[in-house]
Amino acid sequence: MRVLQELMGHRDFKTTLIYADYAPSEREAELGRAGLPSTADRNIRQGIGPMRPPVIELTAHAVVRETVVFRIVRGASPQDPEVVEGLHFNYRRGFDPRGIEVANALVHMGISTYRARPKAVGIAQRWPRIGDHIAELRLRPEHGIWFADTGEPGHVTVWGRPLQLLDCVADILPVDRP
Amino acid sequence: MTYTLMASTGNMIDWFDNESEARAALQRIVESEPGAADDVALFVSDDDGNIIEGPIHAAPAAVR
Repeated sequence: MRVLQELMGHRDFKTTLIYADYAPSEREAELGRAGLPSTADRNIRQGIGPMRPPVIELTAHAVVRETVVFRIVRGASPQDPEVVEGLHFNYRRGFDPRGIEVANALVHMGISTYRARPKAVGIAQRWPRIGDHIAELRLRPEHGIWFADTGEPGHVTVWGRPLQLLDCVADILPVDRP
Repeated sequence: MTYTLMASTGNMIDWFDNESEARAALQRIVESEPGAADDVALFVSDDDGNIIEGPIHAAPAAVR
């Protein structure tokens, strides 16, 4: 946390404690001390080609009425730690940004969901490594959750705190293997 | 058609409307992070969002 205080330039350590969940990994701390590589270098290293626009537009919406989306998870119960883990975004899981995540932190900090269960099932059947169950999330306004249609039709990026997303889990069903 | 790069976390990490750009981006990720060869995959979906191909992985042998 002292490293984070140093990186963020906070005089008061109590201010830094607000960001306790986001303390940098050793690698991030090294980057912070050494100076970040140039945008071009990072783009080439992490999957964004020189022709890729550095910024994309996202139209995010607050959840103002119950909104149903489906998420591929591992585990059959909301009490299963793997289900909770499955509601974490890539940044929270400690992954360095890749692809458009480099230029768009929103993508790095969102989770992928789908408007229709069959779409989620189809992906899980094709790539079982992602998960073996589909969680139905009934997103409710009181949790401060936001979402945006991103990627292919039917894909929705959701931003929310994992435990509050967990509270939105209405059902978890196994994926039938073809 | 949409070309989506997914991580095995189930989270999308990029998307394209051009196949060659998508494949090149996938290749660059694996070249910079060889351990990601099995961790990142490309999916192809039609204009209705139906997945028609994938997961496509960058072959580790192609890593220069």
